[in-house]
Amino acid sequence: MPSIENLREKVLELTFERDSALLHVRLNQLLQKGLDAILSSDTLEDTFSKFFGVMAEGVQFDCAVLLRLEETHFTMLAKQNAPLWPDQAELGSCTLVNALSGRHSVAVFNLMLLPGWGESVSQWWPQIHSALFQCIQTREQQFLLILGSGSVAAFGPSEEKIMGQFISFVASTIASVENKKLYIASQSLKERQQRIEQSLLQSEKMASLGQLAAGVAHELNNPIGFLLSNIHMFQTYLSIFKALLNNYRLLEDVTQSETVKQQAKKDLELLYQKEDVAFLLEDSDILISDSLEGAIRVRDIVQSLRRFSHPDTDQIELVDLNESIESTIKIISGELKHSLHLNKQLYSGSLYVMGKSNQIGQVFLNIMMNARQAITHDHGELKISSGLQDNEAWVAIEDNGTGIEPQHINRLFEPFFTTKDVGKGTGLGLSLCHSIMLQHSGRIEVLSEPGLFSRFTLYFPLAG
Amino acid sequence: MFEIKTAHSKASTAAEIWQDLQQQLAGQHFQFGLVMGHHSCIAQLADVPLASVADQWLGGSSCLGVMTEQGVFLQQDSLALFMIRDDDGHYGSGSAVIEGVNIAKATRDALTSALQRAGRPFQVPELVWCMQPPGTEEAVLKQIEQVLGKKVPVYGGSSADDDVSGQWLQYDGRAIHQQAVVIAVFYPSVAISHFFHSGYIPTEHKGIVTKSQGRLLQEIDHQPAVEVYSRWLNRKITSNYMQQTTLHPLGSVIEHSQLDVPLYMLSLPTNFHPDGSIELFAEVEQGKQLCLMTSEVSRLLSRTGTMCECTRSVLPAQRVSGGIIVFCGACLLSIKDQMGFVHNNVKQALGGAPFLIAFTFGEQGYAVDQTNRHGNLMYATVLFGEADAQY
Repeated sequence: MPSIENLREKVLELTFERDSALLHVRLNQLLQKGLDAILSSDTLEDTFSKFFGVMAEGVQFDCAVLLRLEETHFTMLAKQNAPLWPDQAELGSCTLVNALSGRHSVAVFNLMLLPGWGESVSQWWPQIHSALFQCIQTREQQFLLILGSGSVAAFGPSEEKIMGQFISFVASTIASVENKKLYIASQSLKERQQRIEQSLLQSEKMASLGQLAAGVAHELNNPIGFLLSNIHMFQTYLSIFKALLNNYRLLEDVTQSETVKQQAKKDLELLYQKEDVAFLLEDSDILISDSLEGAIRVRDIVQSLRRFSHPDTDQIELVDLNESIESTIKIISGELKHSLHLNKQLYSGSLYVMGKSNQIGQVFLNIMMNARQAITHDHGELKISSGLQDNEAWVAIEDNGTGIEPQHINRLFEPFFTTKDVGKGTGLGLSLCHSIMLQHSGRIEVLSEPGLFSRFTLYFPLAG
Repeated sequence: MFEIKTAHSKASTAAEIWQDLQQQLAGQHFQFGLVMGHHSCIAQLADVPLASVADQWLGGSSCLGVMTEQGVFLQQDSLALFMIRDDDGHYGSGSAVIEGVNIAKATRDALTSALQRAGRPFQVPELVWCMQPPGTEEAVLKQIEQVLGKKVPVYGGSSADDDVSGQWLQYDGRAIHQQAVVIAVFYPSVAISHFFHSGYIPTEHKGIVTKSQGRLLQEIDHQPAVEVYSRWLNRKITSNYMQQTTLHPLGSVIEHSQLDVPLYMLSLPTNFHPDGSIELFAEVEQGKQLCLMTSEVSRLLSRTGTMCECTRSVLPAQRVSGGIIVFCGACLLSIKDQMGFVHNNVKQALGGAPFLIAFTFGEQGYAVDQTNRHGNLMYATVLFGEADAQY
């Protein structure tokens, strides 16, 4: 066979493939222009009305409408050569389901044959014979685009394909825009939620402090009491020491008369007879030492309270769980030491985790306070232990109080769930603990036997 | 779910045919079935309960037999089924007997019935398939175009026998006809691709149709058509058998601004009359240029495979679920001993997917100029993909 004929055949085959490729070219051009229309529009309606111009370059049509579809009616969004169409009509998606039959794009060769919609569309478009129905489904809304033509069967499979793919692109682009908007809205909600949680956390902390106030006041009162007493006592000692010093100074002063010196000697003897000066000196040391200790205790409690009540920041730092436990115990010690036995078995080294120290302290405090309140008998014991397990640090707080009823275990971390009397518990303490632990990628495990014990074990991922 | 399955039978009685087919279809139910086979087998279908395995049917007689991916069945004793299961698609078939010469009415009735039975009386189908007796094709295509427009591809083949003796049959799932139009409409849930072309090339012999009437070509360049045709062949025409003219049909030039090379729609000379006129298997239009076409056996053998490859290339990811191929019966008669070669080519081109090849007396398809045309000695290929971008 002459090679020229082979080439002819090849050209025909390529023509066939070219026609198919041209369909894609038409589609790509439409997509490009459609994207420009989306990016240059502020509203969905604006976007769609621009599409009429874009679509005319891909598919020939005489008129078009864009409708927002509800189940029983439609609302006109944009139209071109459709003066008789109403702004709204009792035609909706329910009457279109069978016509579309799961497809997004349907070419109708004779509108009068289309059940439901055909008759109305023919009335509003009296010159139109055929139409292309294109459904557009975004995340929240359903639209219907109808292209009309005065020609018989103006639309075929290739128009269905082009419009179907174009609209699919448009719908997914619009969905992306909607998603972006939703993302922004959800971020805003999340920030709002964080602010509310922060506020709740602060309220809960203040509520805890309120409950602690009496204990803390007592705890502060003791050292302050003996500080005052010691200072008072030392003031008395100081007046004696001053008298002694004054008489010694007179005895050593060469300018003084012998009479004055004799009187000073006499006064000294009287002072030594009246006061146990050796004891006073020794007791002064003790007074100062005790006062210092009391002042340090007051300083520590105030520092812990300040640390605890300080509003949370976003600062995440290395927190030593053992240090945090000790700090919490200082705050609560007034509550604990007279009513129960504290049994500490802390890990010998440091237990560093990444987190917010205030929040972790809040968790310890809430659980310790609950433990304290759960003990109603006089042989109460609070056992606080810590340790390492795999890649986690754990802190267990166990009391031998009333325990938790099995039916309450699963509800412990629900907000506003409380078994305390009205007015004595907010029901937010453990809920916040749970939320804080989640934020720290940790968890809480609860084990309890009613009448025997409750153990809350907190697991934190180790830092680094 | 979309699935294509073929089945075949070489049995001689309706009961045995049904047993064969049932065994191969394994109790499955399908939305559409195409049945093609030798007219002796198609004649048995009245007693084969095919309606129980598919909702819609189209079928007819094929020259000598059929071919499927399972083999070459050209011993005048076979039929084959091409079954489509498509849970998300819609299919419908309709038929109407041609009363008198009213082909238009029969076509409209058959098409309306098919659209109704598909449940889509308003929607342009993705594909139309037609089966009619030879001689009615142009009128059938014209009527379909009047209803559905020019954009829907219409494929099909005219029912055939082995020797143009008029034993061809059509089948619609309910009855067997000798003179009916059967039409099927397809709304598949997968992409389809199609290609309609021939295996012939033009020669330097060309002339203008100066006198014609439908399929009767009377004069070329104001000279008796037989005289011109004999001169072009450089031999005297001695008989009326189409095997003699199969390799030398007449090509009607199609002018189209989008085409870079001329496209030829073929007409096969079938009868040579004493008055110098030639009866063709397709109409020729007065004033159009005619060209003597030619081919070689090797070309006819390889063409179907290359067309299938070409058709497959435009499917999404080139994945094929199955295909229907219409092959000219006249070509078959010229190369029937070598059809195993065609079978291998198609099987390879479709990557083992199921297919059915029917042999018809007149082929219809959507030509490269994007017009539905009827021609002779043509090949029509319709492939079903595995996915559709619209869903």
